[in-house]
Amino acid sequence: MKRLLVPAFGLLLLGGCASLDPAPHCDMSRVAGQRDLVAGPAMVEGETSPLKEMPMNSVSITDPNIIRKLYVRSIAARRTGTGTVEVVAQVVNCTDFPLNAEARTQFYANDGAASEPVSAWRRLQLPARTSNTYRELSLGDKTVDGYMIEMREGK
Amino acid sequence: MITRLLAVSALALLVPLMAEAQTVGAKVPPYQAPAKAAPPARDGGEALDAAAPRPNPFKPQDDVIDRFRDAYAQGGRPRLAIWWNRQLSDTLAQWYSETRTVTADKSSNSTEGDLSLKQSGAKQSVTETQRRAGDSAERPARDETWDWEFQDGFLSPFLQADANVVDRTMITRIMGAGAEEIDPKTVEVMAMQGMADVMVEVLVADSARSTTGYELRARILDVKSGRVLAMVNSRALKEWQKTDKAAATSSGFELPDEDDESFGPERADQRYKATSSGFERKRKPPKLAVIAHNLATNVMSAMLPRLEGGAVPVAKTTDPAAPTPITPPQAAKPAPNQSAVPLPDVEAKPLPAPDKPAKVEAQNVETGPAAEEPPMPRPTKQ
Repeated sequence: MKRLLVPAFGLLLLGGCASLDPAPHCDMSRVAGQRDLVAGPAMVEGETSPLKEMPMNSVSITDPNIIRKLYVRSIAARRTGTGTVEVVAQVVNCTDFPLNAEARTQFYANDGAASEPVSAWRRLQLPARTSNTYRELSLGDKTVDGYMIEMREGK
Repeated sequence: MITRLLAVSALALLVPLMAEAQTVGAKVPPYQAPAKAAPPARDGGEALDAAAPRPNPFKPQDDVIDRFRDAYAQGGRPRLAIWWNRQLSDTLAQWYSETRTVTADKSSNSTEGDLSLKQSGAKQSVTETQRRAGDSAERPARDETWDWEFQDGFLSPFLQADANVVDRTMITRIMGAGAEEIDPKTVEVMAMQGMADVMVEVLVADSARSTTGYELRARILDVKSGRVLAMVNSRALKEWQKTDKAAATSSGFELPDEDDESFGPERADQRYKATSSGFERKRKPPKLAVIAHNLATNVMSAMLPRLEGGAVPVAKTTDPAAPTPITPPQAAKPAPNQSAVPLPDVEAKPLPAPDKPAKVEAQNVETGPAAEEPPMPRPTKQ
């Protein structure tokens, strides 16, 4: 019985502390619930593909080290004055520790092929409980129709 | 203990599922071509001279052609024979000889009868070896297609002005038909005098200083009197002059190079070419037909005052459609040309043998055995 009470007490204490923590608060279970892996194209007609992959126009955190630490709050894509595409992703560090992350973007044409070489990794410094903005510009203009951002821990 | 193990294993199952998290964002908006940027406003808002379209000096000058058409009709529509890259030379005959061999046979005297003495004259024959002189009118041949393009560009304004253009080769052939033994030079002059009024001599010469690689010259001559009516040299044409203007560069204004003696026509629309050292102005000249057209209009402009002033004599009697061909009996002497200044009469000259004038000597044709006893075997000079 004692064994059961001690963790329950600890949980209560944690809850009390959490309410005093500054924003942002990341509900990682909900973050996980929002995951939307899409099925890839099936090789056999009428069958769903067993392969689930990243959807287009999204940020994918491919590094398990930071998957529960970062939250991508918003992604925007817009055309610049010259017709190229600028993607902007706002990233939140949900932890109490500073983090380094890296991100890169691959732009795609409307037929699904890469319209240009993948961009270089761009480093993001994220102090504890802060947000930062990742920004990347495409090289092409008419050819760009979609994008995909990868994110990993910066070491 | 079992619950702990279960919890850990459940977490281990969950972790691979959550190894990849993503957030889907907005789609890329469709492409819209950016609006054309207006040129930057300059101080004072004045438009630069460079922005205005530059006048093209090589555009077809219809006003000159129209003026020429009127002046040409006013001047009596003289026939124009154009010599394409063929220079009028002062060589009178196409054949010349360097040596002359005289063979003399003297027969022995014989006595007949009482005192009558008959003496047969010594026979003398002249053998002459003649060579054909290189045609001094010939000039270095250019590309055949070059000729075609040039003649096309040069002739088109004259034909547009309804000018009476005759072909040199054609009139020479017409005049010389049936008189093949006459020297071609003579036939040529007769044809020019009988079937043309004005000779337009168009020459082209290679020139390294010119942007085109060649220079042009046109000379207009009155074939009756040899008078020079007009002369057009491409080097002196204003369209061929360089625009000696200071050029604005990134390091300030640059004055034209004084040592640069190049000249030649340039395109009116300045084209630039992207090179490894930036944009460079292309120096490509206009097309050949355009240059030839421009030369023709300059020739027209040069002829205008002569035509308007009535300086070009026009033959009234001859009909170019029916020229009088030379007949073989007249071949020894050029046919008297009624429409033109007559050729110098060969018979009027003092000949070496006054008692027997040799008509054929003027052409240096072999005299043959019939011409007996010339006073001196005179060597023929070129």
